[in-house]
Amino acid sequence: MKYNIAIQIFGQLRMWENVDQYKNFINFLRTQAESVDVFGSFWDDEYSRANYNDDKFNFFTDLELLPIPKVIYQGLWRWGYCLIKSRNLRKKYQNRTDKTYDFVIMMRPDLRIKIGEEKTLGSFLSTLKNKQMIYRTWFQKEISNSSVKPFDVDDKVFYATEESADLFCLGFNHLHNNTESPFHSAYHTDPICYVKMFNLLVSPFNIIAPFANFDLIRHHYLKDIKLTTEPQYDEELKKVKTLDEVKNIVKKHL
Amino acid sequence: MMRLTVHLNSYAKTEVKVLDANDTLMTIGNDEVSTVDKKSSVDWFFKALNYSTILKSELEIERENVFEKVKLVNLNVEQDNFKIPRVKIYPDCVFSPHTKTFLQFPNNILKQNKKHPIKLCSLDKWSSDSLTYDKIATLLFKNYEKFAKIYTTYSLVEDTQEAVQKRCMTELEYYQFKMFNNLNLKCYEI
Repeated sequence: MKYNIAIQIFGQLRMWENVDQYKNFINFLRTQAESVDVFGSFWDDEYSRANYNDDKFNFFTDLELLPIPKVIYQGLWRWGYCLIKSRNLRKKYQNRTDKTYDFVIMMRPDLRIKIGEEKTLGSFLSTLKNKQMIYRTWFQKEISNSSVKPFDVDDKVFYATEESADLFCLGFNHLHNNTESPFHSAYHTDPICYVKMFNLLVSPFNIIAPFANFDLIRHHYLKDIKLTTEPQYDEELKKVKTLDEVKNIVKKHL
Repeated sequence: MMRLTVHLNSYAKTEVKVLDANDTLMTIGNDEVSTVDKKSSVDWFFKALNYSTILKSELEIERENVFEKVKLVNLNVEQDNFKIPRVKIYPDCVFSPHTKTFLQFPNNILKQNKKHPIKLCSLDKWSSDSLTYDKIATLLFKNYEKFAKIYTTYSLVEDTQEAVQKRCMTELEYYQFKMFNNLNLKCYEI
């Protein structure tokens, strides 16, 4: 059985020197899929434009570089803004082509992707279709209650069925553009608000669907040189775009 | 107060008109959602409804505010002849001038839940808050094809606009019932 998969890659473009990881991941998905369409929504900044000019997005089905809003709010506001934009980019393409998807992957562009077994992917996709799953999302890990915030979750990658992805992405408006919302934004809690407001089901994909593992390239590098993933100068590290810049900052602080 | 009226009309062109400070009218037409190659009017309806979420969400991002109330009328089959409720609309509540009531177990009166019967509003004319609008507008035609079935166990007992004929839920009504249950939506008559 073959499947149609959509990937939304969105947010601040960073570490795009490692674009081959995304290409490999897409090729991996293609082993089990009829089609894998890739949609990109990134800020229209110097780094994105340089990559665009270097033809580093040539495997994307559709791409948009978003004008940076005049006012940018803290937390996962930027993440959610690019997420809803990438949803609409995908939906416009679907409307033009009358295409539907069995599975949607929403992910950041600065990830180190460790690909698993084709068999695991095939078995997950087969379950998804055979059990006719709807309104399902898969987060990387279980939702955590251990932090000071009500809930906490990773923001790297989300899997969803099509209707679930459609709703999940719309959560941005109902959280950030609704002063009467009973949900409150806090860093790393926004995705949970999105699933709760739409009554979506959540499972951890590192247990249910472990066909790939994801880590930030920055975190992977820090772990590799035996440093904590959130050093005191983490805010400084978050602002840079390339791994070389990360290495220079680490060198400066060591 | 920001209100949005959405008209689905396969004979019109897509446009967004700001009527005044409080009201916006959005028409979804055949230029954006083509009628060509659609399997049925239900197919076009769900695709047009779904497409409206793109334009609506872009308007909400631009205004940095979600619409407080949204009204949907499928002009292909209905007229826009009702007003958005003036009262506060809470999430997960759908209001319509046309509702139908169904009961389970048509042949066993003792098992029928008459206190909380199944109420379904007309999908062609209804009003809700913005969040609930998005839930309904994200119902997909592909899921209609997958899940719409006729179950004789649900029978119509009341229709606010027509004389009741003895019949069970149609495929579309069953799909709506199933999805509204999934999304925790409740229908009310206005």
